[in-house]
Amino acid sequence: MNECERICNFFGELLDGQLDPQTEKSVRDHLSQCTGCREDLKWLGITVQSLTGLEKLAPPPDFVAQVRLRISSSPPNNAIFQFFRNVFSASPYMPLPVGVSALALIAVLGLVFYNHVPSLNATTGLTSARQPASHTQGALSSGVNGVTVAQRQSDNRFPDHSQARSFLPSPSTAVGLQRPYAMSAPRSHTQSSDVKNRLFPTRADVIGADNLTVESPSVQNAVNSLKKMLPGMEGRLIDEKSREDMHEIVIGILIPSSSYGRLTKELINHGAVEAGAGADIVPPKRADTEGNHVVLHVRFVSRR
Amino acid sequence: MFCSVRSETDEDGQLVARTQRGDRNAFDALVEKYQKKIFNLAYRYVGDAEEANDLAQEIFTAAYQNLKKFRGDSKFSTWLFQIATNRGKNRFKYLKRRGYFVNKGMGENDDERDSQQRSIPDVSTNPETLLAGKQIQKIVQDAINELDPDHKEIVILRDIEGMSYEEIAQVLHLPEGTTKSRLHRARMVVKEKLKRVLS
Repeated sequence: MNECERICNFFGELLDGQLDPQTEKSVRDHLSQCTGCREDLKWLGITVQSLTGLEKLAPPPDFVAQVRLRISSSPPNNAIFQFFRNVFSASPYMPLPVGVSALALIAVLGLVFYNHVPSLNATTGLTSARQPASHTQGALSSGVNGVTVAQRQSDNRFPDHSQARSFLPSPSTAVGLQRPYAMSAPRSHTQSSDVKNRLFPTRADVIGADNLTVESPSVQNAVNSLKKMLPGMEGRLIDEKSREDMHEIVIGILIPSSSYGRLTKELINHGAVEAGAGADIVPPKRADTEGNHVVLHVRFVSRR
Repeated sequence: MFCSVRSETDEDGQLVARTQRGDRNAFDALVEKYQKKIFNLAYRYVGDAEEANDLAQEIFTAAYQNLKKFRGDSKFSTWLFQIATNRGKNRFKYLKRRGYFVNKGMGENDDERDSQQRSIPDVSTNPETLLAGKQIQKIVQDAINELDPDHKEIVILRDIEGMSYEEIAQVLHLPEGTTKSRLHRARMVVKEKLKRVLS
Protein backbone atom coordinates (compact mmCIF):
# COMPACT_ATOMS: atom_id res chain seq x y z
CA MET A 1 0.00 0.00 0.00
CA ASN A 2 1.51 3.30 -1.02
CA GLU A 3 1.27 6.52 0.93
CA CYS A 4 -1.66 7.89 -1.09
CA GLU A 5 -3.70 4.74 -0.49
CA ARG A 6 -2.92 4.89 3.20
CA ILE A 7 -3.95 8.54 3.44
CA CYS A 8 -7.07 7.92 1.35
CA ASN A 9 -8.32 5.47 3.97
CA PHE A 10 -8.58 8.36 6.42
CA PHE A 11 -10.69 10.61 4.19
CA GLY A 12 -14.00 9.36 5.53
CA GLU A 13 -13.09 10.05 9.15
CA LEU A 14 -11.54 13.33 8.13
CA LEU A 15 -14.83 14.44 6.61
CA ASP A 16 -16.65 13.21 9.70
CA GLY A 17 -14.25 15.10 11.93
CA GLN A 18 -13.31 11.96 13.78
CA LEU A 19 -9.56 11.85 13.31
CA ASP A 20 -7.25 12.36 16.25
CA PRO A 21 -5.13 15.52 15.97
CA GLN A 22 -1.91 13.74 15.11
CA THR A 23 -3.41 11.69 12.31
CA GLU A 24 -5.31 14.67 10.97
CA LYS A 25 -2.11 16.67 10.79
CA SER A 26 -0.29 13.97 8.87
CA VAL A 27 -3.21 13.68 6.43
CA ARG A 28 -3.36 17.41 5.84
CA ASP A 29 0.39 17.59 5.38
CA HIS A 30 0.13 14.96 2.66
CA LEU A 31 -2.81 16.72 1.01
CA SER A 32 -0.82 19.95 0.83
CA GLN A 33 1.73 18.18 -1.33
CA CYS A 34 -0.43 15.72 -3.34
CA THR A 35 -2.74 17.04 -6.06
CA GLY A 36 -4.25 13.64 -6.75
CA CYS A 37 -5.27 13.11 -3.14
CA ARG A 38 -6.74 16.60 -2.96
CA GLU A 39 -8.85 15.81 -6.00
CA ASP A 40 -9.94 12.49 -4.47
CA LEU A 41 -10.90 14.19 -1.24
CA LYS A 42 -12.89 16.79 -3.14
CA TRP A 43 -14.86 14.14 -4.98
CA LEU A 44 -15.37 12.14 -1.83
CA GLY A 45 -16.77 15.25 -0.22
CA ILE A 46 -19.13 15.74 -3.15
CA THR A 47 -20.19 12.12 -2.82
CA VAL A 48 -20.91 12.31 0.88
CA GLN A 49 -22.72 15.59 0.41
CA SER A 50 -24.83 14.14 -2.37
CA LEU A 51 -25.72 11.16 -0.24
CA THR A 52 -26.59 13.15 2.87
CA GLY A 53 -28.44 15.67 0.69
CA LEU A 54 -30.85 13.17 -0.75
CA GLU A 55 -34.35 14.34 -0.13
CA LYS A 56 -36.24 12.72 2.69
CA LEU A 57 -39.54 11.43 1.47
CA ALA A 58 -42.60 11.46 3.65
CA PRO A 59 -44.71 8.34 3.93
CA PRO A 60 -48.37 8.52 2.97
CA PRO A 61 -50.57 10.35 5.50
CA ASP A 62 -52.46 7.18 6.35
CA PHE A 63 -49.36 5.03 6.72
CA VAL A 64 -50.08 4.12 10.33
CA ALA A 65 -53.57 3.00 9.41
CA GLN A 66 -52.20 0.98 6.52
CA VAL A 67 -49.80 -0.81 8.83
CA ARG A 68 -52.58 -1.55 11.31
CA LEU A 69 -54.75 -2.94 8.53
CA ARG A 70 -51.93 -5.07 7.19
CA ILE A 71 -51.22 -6.53 10.61
CA SER A 72 -54.88 -7.31 11.13
CA SER A 73 -55.27 -8.94 7.77
CA SER A 74 -52.13 -11.09 7.95
CA PRO A 75 -53.24 -14.54 6.81
CA PRO A 76 -53.32 -17.36 9.41
CA ASN A 77 -50.70 -19.39 7.62
CA ASN A 78 -48.36 -16.47 8.01
CA ALA A 79 -48.39 -17.16 11.74
CA ILE A 80 -47.64 -20.80 11.01
CA PHE A 81 -44.90 -19.72 8.62
CA GLN A 82 -43.42 -17.56 11.32
CA PHE A 83 -43.78 -20.36 13.83
CA PHE A 84 -41.66 -22.68 11.75
CA ARG A 85 -39.19 -19.91 11.14
CA ASN A 86 -38.87 -19.31 14.83
CA VAL A 87 -38.60 -23.02 15.63
CA PHE A 88 -35.39 -23.15 13.73
CA SER A 89 -33.96 -19.82 14.61
CA ALA A 90 -33.35 -17.63 17.58
CA SER A 91 -33.83 -14.43 15.67
CA PRO A 92 -36.94 -13.44 13.79
CA TYR A 93 -35.28 -13.05 10.45
CA MET A 94 -33.09 -16.11 9.97
CA PRO A 95 -33.80 -17.48 6.57
CA LEU A 96 -36.40 -20.25 6.68
CA PRO A 97 -34.66 -22.52 4.15
CA VAL A 98 -32.01 -23.21 6.73
CA GLY A 99 -34.56 -24.69 9.07
CA VAL A 100 -36.40 -26.54 6.33
CA SER A 101 -33.13 -28.00 5.09
CA ALA A 102 -32.26 -29.11 8.60
CA LEU A 103 -35.65 -30.79 8.98
CA ALA A 104 -35.26 -32.54 5.63
CA LEU A 105 -31.80 -33.72 6.61
CA ILE A 106 -33.10 -35.15 9.88
CA ALA A 107 -35.85 -36.96 8.00
CA VAL A 108 -33.39 -38.44 5.52
CA LEU A 109 -31.02 -39.54 8.27
CA GLY A 110 -33.90 -41.12 10.12
CA LEU A 111 -34.92 -43.04 7.03
CA VAL A 112 -31.38 -44.26 6.41
CA PHE A 113 -31.03 -45.26 10.04
CA TYR A 114 -34.34 -47.11 10.00
CA ASN A 115 -33.46 -49.10 6.93
CA HIS A 116 -29.92 -49.97 7.88
CA VAL A 117 -29.98 -50.78 11.54
CA PRO A 118 -30.77 -54.50 11.72
CA SER A 119 -31.79 -54.48 15.37
CA LEU A 120 -34.85 -52.42 14.61
CA ASN A 121 -36.20 -55.15 12.35
CA ALA A 122 -34.85 -58.16 14.21
CA THR A 123 -35.90 -57.51 17.75
CA THR A 124 -39.51 -58.54 17.41
CA GLY A 125 -38.54 -61.71 15.51
CA LEU A 126 -36.18 -62.80 18.22
CA THR A 127 -38.70 -61.93 20.86
CA SER A 128 -41.34 -64.08 19.30
CA ALA A 129 -38.86 -66.91 18.88
CA ARG A 130 -37.86 -66.76 22.50
CA GLN A 131 -41.35 -66.71 23.81
CA PRO A 132 -42.88 -69.92 22.65
CA ALA A 133 -45.58 -69.86 25.26
CA SER A 134 -46.59 -66.45 24.18
CA HIS A 135 -46.72 -67.00 20.46
CA THR A 136 -50.36 -66.31 20.76
CA GLN A 137 -49.76 -62.94 22.30
CA GLY A 138 -51.32 -60.32 20.19
CA ALA A 139 -51.23 -62.67 17.28
CA LEU A 140 -54.37 -63.64 15.49
CA SER A 141 -58.04 -63.75 15.68
CA SER A 142 -59.13 -66.79 17.60
CA GLY A 143 -62.10 -67.09 15.33
CA VAL A 144 -59.99 -68.59 12.58
CA ASN A 145 -59.55 -72.23 13.38
CA GLY A 146 -56.76 -72.75 10.97
CA VAL A 147 -54.83 -70.06 12.68
CA THR A 148 -55.48 -71.45 16.09
CA VAL A 149 -54.30 -74.84 14.96
CA ALA A 150 -51.27 -73.32 13.31
CA GLN A 151 -50.43 -71.47 16.44
CA ARG A 152 -50.79 -74.51 18.59
CA GLN A 153 -48.77 -76.60 16.26
CA SER A 154 -46.11 -73.96 15.90
CA ASP A 155 -45.95 -73.79 19.65
CA ASN A 156 -45.42 -77.52 19.80
CA ARG A 157 -42.88 -77.37 17.08
CA PHE A 158 -40.96 -74.58 18.67
CA PRO A 159 -41.48 -74.95 22.39
CA ASP A 160 -38.18 -73.30 22.99
CA HIS A 161 -35.46 -71.73 21.08
CA SER A 162 -33.26 -74.82 21.03
CA GLN A 163 -35.82 -76.76 19.03
CA ALA A 164 -36.09 -73.95 16.59
CA ARG A 165 -32.42 -74.25 16.01
CA SER A 166 -32.83 -77.83 14.76
CA PHE A 167 -34.47 -76.57 11.60
CA LEU A 168 -31.73 -74.22 10.82
CA PRO A 169 -28.23 -74.23 9.55
CA SER A 170 -25.71 -72.76 11.90
CA PRO A 171 -25.06 -69.12 11.29
CA SER A 172 -21.43 -69.77 10.46
CA THR A 173 -22.24 -71.94 7.44
CA ALA A 174 -25.38 -70.36 6.11
CA VAL A 175 -25.11 -67.93 3.30
CA GLY A 176 -26.70 -64.64 4.14
CA LEU A 177 -28.29 -65.88 7.33
CA GLN A 178 -28.21 -63.62 10.29
CA ARG A 179 -29.73 -65.65 13.09
CA PRO A 180 -31.32 -69.02 13.74
CA TYR A 181 -34.36 -69.46 11.63
CA ALA A 182 -37.58 -69.79 13.53
CA MET A 183 -40.86 -69.69 11.73
CA SER A 184 -42.84 -68.05 14.44
CA ALA A 185 -46.54 -67.75 14.39
CA PRO A 186 -47.64 -64.68 12.61
CA ARG A 187 -47.65 -61.66 14.79
CA SER A 188 -50.32 -59.11 14.63
CA HIS A 189 -48.96 -55.94 13.30
CA THR A 190 -50.35 -52.68 14.33
CA GLN A 191 -51.77 -50.49 11.71
CA SER A 192 -48.99 -48.02 12.36
CA SER A 193 -46.35 -50.57 11.35
CA ASP A 194 -48.24 -51.28 8.15
CA VAL A 195 -48.37 -47.59 7.46
CA LYS A 196 -44.69 -47.33 8.27
CA ASN A 197 -43.89 -50.16 5.87
CA ARG A 198 -45.79 -48.46 3.12
CA LEU A 199 -44.15 -45.12 3.73
CA PHE A 200 -40.63 -46.43 4.19
CA PRO A 201 -39.85 -49.35 1.89
CA THR A 202 -38.03 -52.14 3.66
CA ARG A 203 -35.28 -54.24 2.25
CA ALA A 204 -37.86 -56.90 1.59
CA ASP A 205 -39.96 -54.54 -0.43
CA VAL A 206 -36.95 -53.48 -2.43
CA ILE A 207 -35.83 -57.08 -3.09
CA GLY A 208 -39.00 -58.12 -4.84
CA ALA A 209 -41.10 -61.24 -4.73
CA ASP A 210 -39.03 -63.31 -7.07
CA ASN A 211 -35.78 -63.28 -5.20
CA LEU A 212 -36.42 -65.02 -1.95
CA THR A 213 -34.54 -68.13 -1.07
CA VAL A 214 -34.63 -69.70 2.34
CA GLU A 215 -32.01 -72.16 3.45
CA SER A 216 -32.94 -74.74 5.99
CA PRO A 217 -31.61 -78.09 7.14
CA SER A 218 -35.12 -79.42 6.79
CA VAL A 219 -36.74 -78.01 3.73
CA GLN A 220 -40.03 -79.81 4.18
CA ASN A 221 -40.50 -78.65 7.73
CA ALA A 222 -39.74 -75.07 6.77
CA VAL A 223 -42.25 -75.25 3.96
CA ASN A 224 -44.88 -76.68 6.26
CA SER A 225 -44.31 -73.89 8.73
CA LEU A 226 -44.81 -71.28 6.06
CA LYS A 227 -47.97 -72.98 4.88
CA LYS A 228 -49.37 -72.85 8.36
CA MET A 229 -48.71 -69.15 8.57
CA LEU A 230 -50.73 -68.43 5.45
CA PRO A 231 -54.23 -68.49 6.90
CA GLY A 232 -53.21 -65.92 9.47
CA MET A 233 -52.22 -63.60 6.66
CA GLU A 234 -55.30 -64.36 4.60
CA GLY A 235 -53.02 -66.06 2.11
CA ARG A 236 -53.17 -69.39 0.34
CA LEU A 237 -50.93 -71.80 -1.43
CA ILE A 238 -51.21 -71.73 -5.20
CA ASP A 239 -48.21 -73.62 -6.41
CA GLU A 240 -45.66 -76.11 -5.18
CA LYS A 241 -42.80 -77.75 -6.97
CA SER A 242 -40.11 -79.89 -5.53
CA ARG A 243 -37.10 -81.78 -6.71
CA GLU A 244 -37.05 -85.47 -6.35
CA ASP A 245 -34.41 -85.40 -3.69
CA MET A 246 -36.51 -82.93 -1.67
CA HIS A 247 -33.56 -80.70 -1.33
CA GLU A 248 -35.43 -77.86 -2.95
CA ILE A 249 -39.03 -76.85 -2.86
CA VAL A 250 -40.52 -73.83 -4.53
CA ILE A 251 -43.91 -72.73 -3.35
CA GLY A 252 -46.12 -70.08 -4.75
CA ILE A 253 -48.41 -68.27 -2.40
CA LEU A 254 -51.10 -65.65 -2.88
CA ILE A 255 -51.22 -63.11 -0.11
CA PRO A 256 -52.77 -59.65 0.32
CA SER A 257 -50.49 -56.89 -0.81
CA SER A 258 -50.67 -55.47 2.68
CA SER A 259 -49.17 -58.70 4.03
CA TYR A 260 -46.44 -58.90 1.46
CA GLY A 261 -44.03 -56.59 3.17
CA ARG A 262 -44.64 -58.20 6.52
CA LEU A 263 -44.08 -61.72 5.26
CA THR A 264 -41.00 -60.97 3.24
CA LYS A 265 -39.54 -58.95 6.06
CA GLU A 266 -40.02 -61.87 8.40
CA LEU A 267 -38.44 -64.22 5.88
CA ILE A 268 -35.53 -61.84 5.48
CA ASN A 269 -35.15 -61.49 9.22
CA HIS A 270 -35.06 -65.22 9.50
CA GLY A 271 -32.47 -65.86 6.91
CA ALA A 272 -33.92 -65.48 3.45
CA VAL A 273 -31.27 -64.38 1.01
CA GLU A 274 -31.60 -62.00 -1.78
CA ALA A 275 -29.99 -63.74 -4.68
CA GLY A 276 -30.61 -67.06 -6.30
CA ALA A 277 -28.79 -70.17 -5.26
CA GLY A 278 -26.87 -70.87 -8.42
CA ALA A 279 -27.28 -71.25 -12.15
CA ASP A 280 -28.32 -74.88 -11.92
CA ILE A 281 -31.32 -74.07 -9.81
CA VAL A 282 -34.41 -73.12 -11.73
CA PRO A 283 -35.28 -69.61 -10.70
CA PRO A 284 -38.77 -69.09 -9.36
CA LYS A 285 -41.38 -67.30 -11.34
CA ARG A 286 -41.58 -63.61 -11.07
CA ALA A 287 -44.30 -62.39 -8.80
CA ASP A 288 -47.33 -60.80 -10.36
CA THR A 289 -49.59 -58.34 -8.79
CA GLU A 290 -53.29 -58.92 -8.95
CA GLY A 291 -54.94 -55.92 -7.72
CA ASN A 292 -54.83 -56.18 -3.95
CA HIS A 293 -52.97 -59.47 -3.85
CA VAL A 294 -49.45 -60.51 -4.61
CA VAL A 295 -48.12 -63.82 -5.85
CA LEU A 296 -44.95 -64.63 -4.01
CA HIS A 297 -42.59 -67.48 -4.77
CA VAL A 298 -40.29 -68.72 -2.09
CA ARG A 299 -37.60 -71.22 -2.74
CA PHE A 300 -36.54 -73.46 0.10
CA VAL A 301 -33.21 -75.12 -0.30
CA SER A 302 -31.24 -77.45 1.86
CA ARG A 303 -28.41 -76.05 3.82
CA ARG A 304 -25.22 -76.12 1.78
CA MET B 1 -27.98 14.73 25.77
CA PHE B 2 -27.52 11.60 27.86
CA CYS B 3 -30.78 12.29 29.67
CA SER B 4 -32.70 12.82 26.47
CA VAL B 5 -31.29 9.65 24.93
CA ARG B 6 -32.15 7.70 28.01
CA SER B 7 -35.66 9.04 28.12
CA GLU B 8 -36.15 8.22 24.46
CA THR B 9 -35.10 4.66 25.14
CA ASP B 10 -37.42 4.52 28.15
CA GLU B 11 -40.28 5.84 26.08
CA ASP B 12 -39.73 3.17 23.45
CA GLY B 13 -39.40 0.56 26.16
CA GLN B 14 -42.75 1.50 27.63
CA LEU B 15 -44.44 1.43 24.26
CA VAL B 16 -42.91 -1.96 23.52
CA ALA B 17 -44.05 -3.33 26.86
CA ARG B 18 -47.58 -2.07 26.29
CA THR B 19 -47.62 -3.54 22.82
CA GLN B 20 -46.47 -6.88 24.17
CA ARG B 21 -49.39 -6.76 26.57
CA GLY B 22 -51.74 -6.30 23.64
CA ASP B 23 -52.05 -2.53 23.35
CA ARG B 24 -52.29 -1.86 19.62
CA ASN B 25 -52.32 1.88 20.17
CA ALA B 26 -48.87 1.63 21.69
CA PHE B 27 -47.58 0.00 18.54
CA ASP B 28 -49.26 2.67 16.46
CA ALA B 29 -47.26 5.20 18.42
CA LEU B 30 -44.06 3.36 17.59
CA VAL B 31 -45.01 3.30 13.92
CA GLU B 32 -45.77 7.01 14.04
CA LYS B 33 -42.39 7.68 15.57
CA TYR B 34 -40.27 5.66 13.15
CA GLN B 35 -42.34 5.72 9.99
CA LYS B 36 -40.33 8.40 8.23
CA LYS B 37 -36.96 6.84 8.94
CA ILE B 38 -38.12 3.39 7.95
CA PHE B 39 -39.93 4.67 4.87
CA ASN B 40 -36.84 6.54 3.69
CA LEU B 41 -34.64 3.55 4.34
CA ALA B 42 -37.04 1.43 2.33
CA TYR B 43 -37.11 4.01 -0.44
CA ARG B 44 -33.34 4.02 -0.72
CA TYR B 45 -33.36 0.25 -1.02
CA VAL B 46 -35.92 0.06 -3.80
CA GLY B 47 -35.95 3.53 -5.38
CA ASP B 48 -39.68 3.71 -5.81
CA ALA B 49 -42.26 5.26 -3.51
CA GLU B 50 -44.93 2.63 -3.99
CA GLU B 51 -42.52 -0.25 -3.51
CA ALA B 52 -41.05 1.56 -0.51
CA ASN B 53 -44.49 1.89 1.04
CA ASP B 54 -45.07 -1.82 0.72
CA LEU B 55 -41.63 -2.64 2.09
CA ALA B 56 -42.04 -0.27 5.03
CA GLN B 57 -45.37 -1.86 5.92
CA GLU B 58 -43.77 -5.27 5.72
CA ILE B 59 -41.03 -4.14 8.09
CA PHE B 60 -43.43 -2.86 10.70
CA THR B 61 -45.63 -5.92 10.33
CA ALA B 62 -42.64 -8.17 10.91
CA ALA B 63 -41.66 -6.09 13.90
CA TYR B 64 -45.12 -6.41 15.40
CA GLN B 65 -45.31 -10.16 14.84
CA ASN B 66 -41.91 -10.73 16.42
CA LEU B 67 -42.15 -8.19 19.19
CA LYS B 68 -42.72 -10.88 21.78
CA LYS B 69 -39.17 -12.03 21.15
CA PHE B 70 -37.71 -8.59 21.81
CA ARG B 71 -36.19 -8.71 25.27
CA GLY B 72 -34.74 -5.21 25.47
CA ASP B 73 -31.12 -6.32 25.13
CA SER B 74 -30.69 -3.52 22.62
CA LYS B 75 -32.59 -0.37 21.82
CA PHE B 76 -35.87 -0.88 20.07
CA SER B 77 -34.67 1.30 17.21
CA THR B 78 -31.60 -0.87 16.74
CA TRP B 79 -33.76 -3.96 16.66
CA LEU B 80 -36.20 -2.32 14.26
CA PHE B 81 -33.42 -1.31 11.91
CA GLN B 82 -32.03 -4.82 11.97
CA ILE B 83 -35.35 -6.03 10.63
CA ALA B 84 -35.47 -3.14 8.19
CA THR B 85 -32.03 -3.74 6.69
CA ASN B 86 -32.63 -7.44 6.39
CA ARG B 87 -36.00 -7.00 4.70
CA GLY B 88 -34.66 -4.19 2.54
CA LYS B 89 -31.74 -6.29 1.38
CA ASN B 90 -34.01 -9.20 0.56
CA ARG B 91 -36.45 -7.01 -1.31
CA PHE B 92 -33.62 -5.40 -3.26
CA LYS B 93 -32.23 -8.78 -4.29
CA TYR B 94 -35.69 -9.97 -5.23
CA LEU B 95 -36.34 -6.94 -7.42
CA LYS B 96 -32.90 -7.03 -8.96
CA ARG B 97 -33.33 -10.65 -9.98
CA ARG B 98 -36.46 -9.62 -11.82
CA GLY B 99 -34.76 -6.80 -13.67
CA TYR B 100 -36.67 -4.17 -11.74
CA PHE B 101 -33.81 -1.73 -11.64
CA VAL B 102 -33.03 -2.01 -15.35
CA ASN B 103 -36.10 0.05 -16.17
CA LYS B 104 -35.21 2.54 -13.50
CA GLY B 105 -32.07 3.85 -15.19
CA MET B 106 -29.41 1.26 -14.53
CA GLY B 107 -29.49 0.05 -18.13
CA GLU B 108 -28.92 3.40 -19.76
CA ASN B 109 -27.10 3.18 -23.01
CA ASP B 110 -24.18 5.37 -23.88
CA ASP B 111 -26.30 7.87 -25.79
CA GLU B 112 -28.51 8.57 -22.85
CA ARG B 113 -25.54 8.86 -20.56
CA ASP B 114 -23.87 11.32 -22.95
CA SER B 115 -26.98 13.49 -23.15
CA GLN B 116 -27.24 13.44 -19.39
CA GLN B 117 -23.68 14.58 -19.09
CA ARG B 118 -24.16 17.36 -21.59
CA SER B 119 -27.11 18.70 -19.62
CA ILE B 120 -25.22 18.81 -16.33
CA PRO B 121 -23.19 21.94 -15.79
CA ASP B 122 -19.68 21.78 -14.46
CA VAL B 123 -19.87 20.59 -10.89
CA SER B 124 -16.81 22.51 -9.85
CA THR B 125 -18.52 25.86 -10.30
CA ASN B 126 -21.38 25.38 -7.84
CA PRO B 127 -21.63 21.80 -6.67
CA GLU B 128 -23.94 22.45 -3.73
CA THR B 129 -26.63 23.93 -5.92
CA LEU B 130 -26.28 21.24 -8.50
CA LEU B 131 -26.38 18.48 -5.98
CA ALA B 132 -29.78 19.57 -4.86
CA GLY B 133 -31.21 19.08 -8.33
CA LYS B 134 -33.55 16.23 -9.06
CA GLN B 135 -31.29 14.97 -11.79
CA ILE B 136 -28.41 14.58 -9.41
CA GLN B 137 -30.74 12.88 -6.95
CA LYS B 138 -31.55 10.32 -9.61
CA ILE B 139 -27.91 9.83 -10.47
CA VAL B 140 -27.05 9.27 -6.84
CA GLN B 141 -29.96 6.85 -6.39
CA ASP B 142 -28.85 4.95 -9.47
CA ALA B 143 -25.35 4.75 -8.03
CA ILE B 144 -26.77 3.38 -4.77
CA ASN B 145 -28.82 0.84 -6.72
CA GLU B 146 -25.67 -0.49 -8.32
CA LEU B 147 -23.94 -1.10 -5.01
CA ASP B 148 -23.74 -4.61 -3.68
CA PRO B 149 -26.07 -5.24 -0.73
CA ASP B 150 -23.40 -4.89 1.98
CA HIS B 151 -22.19 -1.55 0.68
CA LYS B 152 -25.68 -0.35 0.02
CA GLU B 153 -26.95 -0.91 3.52
CA ILE B 154 -24.03 0.81 5.17
CA VAL B 155 -24.30 3.87 2.95
CA ILE B 156 -28.01 4.06 3.68
CA LEU B 157 -27.53 3.76 7.43
CA ARG B 158 -24.62 6.18 7.72
CA ASP B 159 -24.94 8.82 5.04
CA ILE B 160 -28.70 8.78 4.49
CA GLU B 161 -30.13 7.82 7.88
CA GLY B 162 -27.33 9.55 9.78
CA MET B 163 -26.68 6.74 12.25
CA SER B 164 -23.46 6.71 14.22
CA TYR B 165 -20.75 4.10 13.64
CA GLU B 166 -21.63 2.55 16.97
CA GLU B 167 -25.29 2.24 16.08
CA ILE B 168 -24.48 0.82 12.66
CA ALA B 169 -22.15 -1.72 14.23
CA GLN B 170 -24.98 -2.85 16.51
CA VAL B 171 -27.53 -3.04 13.71
CA LEU B 172 -25.27 -4.97 11.38
CA HIS B 173 -23.48 -7.00 14.06
CA LEU B 174 -20.12 -5.78 12.83
CA PRO B 175 -17.06 -4.43 14.61
CA GLU B 176 -16.83 -0.68 14.40
CA GLY B 177 -13.58 -0.87 12.44
CA THR B 178 -15.19 -3.09 9.83
CA THR B 179 -18.10 -0.65 9.64
CA LYS B 180 -15.77 2.25 8.89
CA SER B 181 -13.72 0.42 6.29
CA ARG B 182 -16.81 -0.95 4.58
CA LEU B 183 -18.35 2.51 4.49
CA HIS B 184 -15.19 3.94 3.00
CA ARG B 185 -15.19 1.36 0.21
CA ALA B 186 -18.87 1.96 -0.47
CA ARG B 187 -18.36 5.70 -0.70
CA MET B 188 -15.43 5.22 -3.05
CA VAL B 189 -17.63 3.16 -5.37
CA VAL B 190 -20.32 5.84 -5.40
CA LYS B 191 -17.65 8.50 -5.88
CA GLU B 192 -16.31 6.82 -8.99
CA LYS B 193 -19.79 6.57 -10.46
CA LEU B 194 -20.54 10.20 -9.74
CA LYS B 195 -17.18 11.30 -11.09
CA ARG B 196 -17.82 9.39 -14.30
CA VAL B 197 -21.16 11.06 -14.81
CA LEU B 198 -20.44 14.53 -13.55
CA SER B 199 -16.91 15.27 -14.66
